[in-house]
Amino acid sequence: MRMNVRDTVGGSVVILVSAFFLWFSFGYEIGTSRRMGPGYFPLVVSSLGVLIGIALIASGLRFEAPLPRVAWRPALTVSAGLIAFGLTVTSLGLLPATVLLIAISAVGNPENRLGAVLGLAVAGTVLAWLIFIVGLSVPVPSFAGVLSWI
Amino acid sequence: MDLILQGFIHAATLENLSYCLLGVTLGTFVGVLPGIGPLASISMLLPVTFYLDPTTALIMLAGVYYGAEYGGSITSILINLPGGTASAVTCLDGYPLARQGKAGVALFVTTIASFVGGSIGIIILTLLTPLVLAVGLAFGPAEYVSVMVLGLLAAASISSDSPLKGIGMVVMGLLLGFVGTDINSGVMRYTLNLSDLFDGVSIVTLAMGVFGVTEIIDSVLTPKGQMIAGKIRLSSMIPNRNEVRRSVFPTLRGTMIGCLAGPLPGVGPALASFVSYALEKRVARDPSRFGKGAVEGIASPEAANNAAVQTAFIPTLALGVPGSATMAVMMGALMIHGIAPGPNFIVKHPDIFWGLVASFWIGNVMLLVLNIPMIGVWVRLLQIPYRFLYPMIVMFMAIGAYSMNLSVFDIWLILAFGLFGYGMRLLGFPPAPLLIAFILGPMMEENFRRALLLGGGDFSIFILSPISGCLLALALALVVWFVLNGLRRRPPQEPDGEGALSSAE
Repeated sequence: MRMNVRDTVGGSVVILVSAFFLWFSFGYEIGTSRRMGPGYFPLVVSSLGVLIGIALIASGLRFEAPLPRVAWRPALTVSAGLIAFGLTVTSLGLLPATVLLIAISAVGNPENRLGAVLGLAVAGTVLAWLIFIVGLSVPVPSFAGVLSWI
Repeated sequence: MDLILQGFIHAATLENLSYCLLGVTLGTFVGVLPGIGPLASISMLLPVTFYLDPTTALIMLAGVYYGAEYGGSITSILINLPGGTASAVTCLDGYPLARQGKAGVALFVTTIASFVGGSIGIIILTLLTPLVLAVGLAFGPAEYVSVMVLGLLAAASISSDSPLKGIGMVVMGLLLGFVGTDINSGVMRYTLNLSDLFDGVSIVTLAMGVFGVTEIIDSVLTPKGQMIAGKIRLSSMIPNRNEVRRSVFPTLRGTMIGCLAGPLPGVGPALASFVSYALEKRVARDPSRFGKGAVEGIASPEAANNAAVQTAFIPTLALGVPGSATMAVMMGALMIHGIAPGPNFIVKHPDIFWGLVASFWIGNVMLLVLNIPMIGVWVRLLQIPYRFLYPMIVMFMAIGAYSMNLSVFDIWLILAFGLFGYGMRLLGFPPAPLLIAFILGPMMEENFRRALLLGGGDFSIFILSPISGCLLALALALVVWFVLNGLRRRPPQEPDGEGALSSAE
């Protein structure tokens, strides 16, 4: 059995996303083609999406294509950095969140050793402070919550 | 003529000049650095443009776009890595030239070719936009829907290895555009009762996610190329008479191809440079010189991509239909300022349009200065490893996005779109059609609704109107061509091959 994993997975994603939108479009008034309700156009487009997803899977069956290699380390560290930033930016303030963001995402390349990670975090945070707080005066506290005494 | 003059007056204020300089400098910078393209940088700058006047914002963003085309060739020539997709083809002959000790000459020729291509592109833009605008003003809603269908189909299919994948991305882009309050009925659609989604998904988070985060994850581990050593002096840059003679016609031919390719949806600078390289190789007396350091092989593609970059503005500004993801983001910048793109844009805001055109001239002259006397700066910048740069880029994106609405939700959106975009890239799905469709979605729905209202609910209005009918016939022809072509389709080569990338910018 030959298998085209890439097109099967890709086509399934298109079908799932379209099906989600299709399901919800029935919850809105469809209307008629003369007086379209808010559900009309989404219904048309998402039905089309389901068909295209099916066509993708079908047309991919003619040859094999294995799943490509995933760059797990950068994907995980950049995600973790963004999550850390999101969780701390309001509770600890912009600068601590930035330190965490840069330090965690910098680990994504194994060549970045401890010294480089810390150096980047400090330099990047100073840069962020200069540009966003001093330069653009973005109304975000540099330190907040338990750190607000700084 | 009067309008152009006024444009220069508008563009030459100190503020606009400095933002133009900032834009082209930044553009050259990101063009030089592999692993971050003009699109990611423009989306990173979008939050900043909130603080600017719309003309100034566009001048800066456009500067990043065409500046990057200049910068990309430096990387191609010196380290044999494309700084951007449109400069990939410059590696083929640029790097061999550098190895022969002619890096300076190569850089000089590409800069001049870029300048000529860009300048002629601006002239075409100036002459052609009013004509396209006249056509656009005659468009009714049905014609609009058809031109968008054609544009989306072309953008989805031309540069991707499988048209179906591009169309799949178009559909998902349109669907994402539905999220938020329906302007017509006031009904909340697909908001999942999250108040953060009531205004819809912002173009900034989508673009930063699918281009910024995706691009970074994809390039963190790519190995660094070997840099050609040696200092580049001004004296070593001047080409000899033979090299000048051999680059004149290729530059003009490249410019022509670029001007033809630029306004077409889905074609853009990258394809223009590939086509012009192929053409040069075909018309050359001795094609075997190509790949070994032929000056023609660098002059023509660089002229082509710069001409294409300028002419890409024609459909975007005259019709409000962007042909590439970068143009879509540029339109997003206008929309942030409450300016609706479309034929009425130039009629209502001639000052912005002509100011922008004038700034293109100014910017191209600035780039000439940035790229010839100051080449040493960029060569030194090339030595910064990407592993130091990418954490900074992530920082700019996160803080930039957060500062727009002070909403942590936007961070989660960037992350989600980034991972989605990375997954789809691995599966060979091009990101550009998603973004173009996302921008066009609401306009398409509105015009679709209006067309059917005028036509009394009868779909034949799309076929019976002559212009709309022709456009749809073209779209149908395109689909038939894909199907025939697709039946003969070979398996795609590599997962992360050009297919997914070439439409990125």
